[in-house]
Amino acid sequence: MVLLVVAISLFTPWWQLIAGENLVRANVSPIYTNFDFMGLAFTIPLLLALNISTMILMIAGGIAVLIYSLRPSASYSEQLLSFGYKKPLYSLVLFTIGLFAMTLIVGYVLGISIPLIGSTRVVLPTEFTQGTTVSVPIAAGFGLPYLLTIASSTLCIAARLFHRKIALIQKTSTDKTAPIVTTPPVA
Amino acid sequence: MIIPPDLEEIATVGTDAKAIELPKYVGSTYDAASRTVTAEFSFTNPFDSDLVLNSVSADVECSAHVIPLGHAELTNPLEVRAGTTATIVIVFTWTQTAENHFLTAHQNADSIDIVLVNLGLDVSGIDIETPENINLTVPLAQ
Repeated sequence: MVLLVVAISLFTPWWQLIAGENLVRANVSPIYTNFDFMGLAFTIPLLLALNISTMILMIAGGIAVLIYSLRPSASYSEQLLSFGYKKPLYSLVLFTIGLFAMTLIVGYVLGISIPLIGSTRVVLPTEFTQGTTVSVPIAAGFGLPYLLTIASSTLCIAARLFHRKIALIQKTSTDKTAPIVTTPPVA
Repeated sequence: MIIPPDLEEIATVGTDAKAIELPKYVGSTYDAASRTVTAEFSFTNPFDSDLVLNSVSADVECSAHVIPLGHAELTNPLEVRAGTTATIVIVFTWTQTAENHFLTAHQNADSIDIVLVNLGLDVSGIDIETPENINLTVPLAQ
């Protein structure tokens, strides 16, 4: 599921903000972030570096959990799970905190209230518009990958919490299915 | 401070006066029966995205006597494709007061100086209301 999140996040943002009628667009996610200003698409190198780092970590975590899920009772499985289950959770928490902080900073510095979800009309401060009143409709919302990340994080935490039980069940079933060697009757 | 070249380009587009040119007056026709002047302006969209001009409106005053002459507005919403030039059609409807004013104060004038006040625009959903007035000289038909 983590790998699915990474794949979808390359095409669909976790959070999107649109100003005007598609005049300004911000596609934000820990995997891929880009901006579109009146048809001029651009990325910020620092964000791109962070995105690539997050993507590598998420893929590594996803592969670790995938291998763990195949053999949860193996000796190395606990380490794989410990490494893998945190990745989507950390991405989710850091992304949410970062987004929340960004909207607060923009609100504090520029005096513009940006919604995390929903639409509103923002009047730009007149200091930036030379006395002209500029009112911009803004719509923002979380996308499907964000919800998928919440789901995958929940599943990863569940896997961590029930790891011992799962490993025990698998070990028991493996023991049961093990061939019983019977000795031939003595004549 | 290090500014990425992409951001620099955006800042240039946002601040460079050459990037956005004001609409150019092309010509006008008038209809005395309906008391309207239809003025045409050409506007070039310098951006890489389409712009939709949803509304343009302004009150028109006589510049010399500060008398309200009427109201001007965009006839129909207009989509200006990226990098193309489109013709903006603005219809000014003058009032009976304006007509009387033309006959008394500008009887033999070839043109009249007007000022556009309370100028409002809706461009791709962004509402712009400017406190600045725009002065124009409009030829008068005798």
